[in-house]
Amino acid sequence: MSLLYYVPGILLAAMLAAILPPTARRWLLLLTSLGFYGQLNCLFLPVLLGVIAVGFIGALLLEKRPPRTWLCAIFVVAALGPLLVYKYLPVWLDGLDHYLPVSSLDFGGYGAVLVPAGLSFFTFQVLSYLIDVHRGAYPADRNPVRFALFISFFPQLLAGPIERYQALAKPLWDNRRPTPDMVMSGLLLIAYGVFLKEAIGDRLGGIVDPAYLAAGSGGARGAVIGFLGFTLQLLADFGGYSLIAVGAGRLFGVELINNFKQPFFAETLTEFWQRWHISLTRWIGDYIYRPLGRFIVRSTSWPRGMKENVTAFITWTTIGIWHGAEATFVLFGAIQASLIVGQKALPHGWLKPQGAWRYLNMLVVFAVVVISFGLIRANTLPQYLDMLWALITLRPSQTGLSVGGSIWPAIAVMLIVEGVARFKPQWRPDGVWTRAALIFILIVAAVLLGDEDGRNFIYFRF
Amino acid sequence: MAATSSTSASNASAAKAPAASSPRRVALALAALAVALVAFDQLAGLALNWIWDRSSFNPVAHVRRAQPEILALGSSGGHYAIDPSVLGPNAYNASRDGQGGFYVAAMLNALPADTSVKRVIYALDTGDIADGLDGPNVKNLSQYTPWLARDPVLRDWLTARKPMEQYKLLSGLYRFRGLVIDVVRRWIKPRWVGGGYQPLQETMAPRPLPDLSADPARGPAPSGIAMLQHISRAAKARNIQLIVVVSPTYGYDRGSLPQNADVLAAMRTAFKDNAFCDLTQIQDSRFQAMRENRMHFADGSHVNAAGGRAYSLLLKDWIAQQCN
Repeated sequence: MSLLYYVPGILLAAMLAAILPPTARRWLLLLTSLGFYGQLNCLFLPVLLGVIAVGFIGALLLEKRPPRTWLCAIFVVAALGPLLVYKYLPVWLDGLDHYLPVSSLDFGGYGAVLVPAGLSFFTFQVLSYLIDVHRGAYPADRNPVRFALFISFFPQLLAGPIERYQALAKPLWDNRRPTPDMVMSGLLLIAYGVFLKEAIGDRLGGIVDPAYLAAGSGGARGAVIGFLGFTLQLLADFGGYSLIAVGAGRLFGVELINNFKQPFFAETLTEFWQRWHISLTRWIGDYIYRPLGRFIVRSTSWPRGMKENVTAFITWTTIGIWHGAEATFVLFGAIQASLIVGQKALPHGWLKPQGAWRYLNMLVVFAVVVISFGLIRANTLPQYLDMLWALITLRPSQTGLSVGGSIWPAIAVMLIVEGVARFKPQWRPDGVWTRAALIFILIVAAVLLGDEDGRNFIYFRF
Repeated sequence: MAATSSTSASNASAAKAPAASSPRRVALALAALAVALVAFDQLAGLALNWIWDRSSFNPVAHVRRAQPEILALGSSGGHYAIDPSVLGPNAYNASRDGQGGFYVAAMLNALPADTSVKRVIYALDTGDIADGLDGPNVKNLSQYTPWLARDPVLRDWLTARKPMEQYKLLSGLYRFRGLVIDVVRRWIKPRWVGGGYQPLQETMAPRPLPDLSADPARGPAPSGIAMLQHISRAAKARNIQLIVVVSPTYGYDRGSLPQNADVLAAMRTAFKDNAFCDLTQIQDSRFQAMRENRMHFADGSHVNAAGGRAYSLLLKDWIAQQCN
């Protein structure tokens, strides 16, 4: 999916939405969303519509009192069905891709991807809706168009943010016109998101892919390029997508969750996960961590610390498995769990130091994140371990891997913006002309510094 | 811009509407932004085009500067195999890694009518003709977008894989996408390589001679033939003699492989009206000895400095014997 067509598409749809009457506007948004998804592969549309149907019908049945947990479980499993089939069955059933529609998106160094783009993101939205209705948090929606629009709203359909029904369905349906301020800030977010994606994410992709292809033969330098480059690439790519989604939402008068809140300036790993992929971690907290914790507290007589640790371990392993059934993802979740649990054993002063020690903590957390994120990118566990060992033993490189100088200015811009947002949050460009000037600079920079071979957003594959 | 990456700040900025953000003011700002972008795009495009013509990133600038009589063109095979210092003082190697026949055609097209070049040694890659515009090297042409976009024929090649891309080329800046830093840097601090030759230094590890007998035969693609015809026309218009070679590969001669017979026949047909010297099927025991000696190779497809010198000495002999 090229941003060259996606961003003008957003602007065109936003302009049309602004002049259409309410009913036509709703249909425009729904049809644009379905058309947008269908152009990736029209055979994915039945999957999306099927998950929407399960959520819509399931909620109508689940709102009847008293709550029937078994019925909720059935609909949760039904909604999860496509995700389980696409994501986990191919690991055990070889050749399944001959019978299922395959993603038309190309993910460069990752190889082919079977999962329909964005499947887990819209599935999670349906699950939260089903569970909330089951819990009696709000009544089921009786309008299928409104519900379908909530699930398929195109700016956040493919990689989130994972929105809740109450936060998104009503504003979308109510046809709130964006304020002039929302338009300017939305355009600025889109421009910055495009800059991150094009000038950093895509270009780093071209540097990181060879490092993983070379694996251990890239030596310590290849491992640093692979681990550090991928972490920065991921922030630019996924963060860029999220900013474009939030900006596009504003052009339609709705506020979406921004998934990233300066994660690289976190002082603890727990804080990192409160700043990284925020809508997913909140979702996991609400629908896995806390319910699981309550269940373990009620049903076991273990010591409190053990209950917390087991809950954390299961939750984090689930997050790892959410990325995929491969060993690398499972290990990724287990490592995060171990580190977060282990972190609790440290003296409080170590976790929340004062003065300059804070920055040392940030560096340590960043290093831990960089090394563990290699597991998300590596194709196999031996490949990751080979690179890690090359790094530990400072093995010399046998390949000509290099970064090149031209990427650094763009990375510096990203880190400065992140740093200002973290340490000077009160500073922001409010004036119309200031924002217009920034949009101008970002567009020119994105055009000039972008990579010729554009890449798809990394998290579309999850 | 801090607000752009902060949830709280982004929410706050939506809620807080500065007094100045009236619809009229925003509309005015957006109109001004659009006009500024278009104007800047065109003006900056002109400036960058001017820089491009003078930057050592531009391969045409190298040839213009060197004013050679013998010009070697091709991909990496030709780049590492043809040592211009062996061929004579007026030889220049403008072959480029990852390029191919389309690049050769573009280079010939870029030479002025009164060019100093009298002979072009075309290090032919049979895959370019068999694959045509679907070949793996074609996408690397985008490295030279600023130059190719000026010519309608070359622009078609550039956008053949993605026809919608031609609309991007309406932009003055977009054609410098991903290149601008290198183009400007090599304009400020040019890197001119004497003779254009930068040999590989490493030597290949021992390995058995390859057996290619099972490889399938391939015919020419229509776009591959069109590319050859373009080379033919460009050479003829400039009165340039075409000397076609197949650069050495370890252990076998690509020019003699029966699988490549159709492709080479298409090349001969395309060049039949040119001043043309065909060195693709040389029978020379010295050549066989050269290509079976691993000390001449950096890898299976590329010779090293010693191999380049050995091959270029043979090439000089063949040209003297067969192309005068």
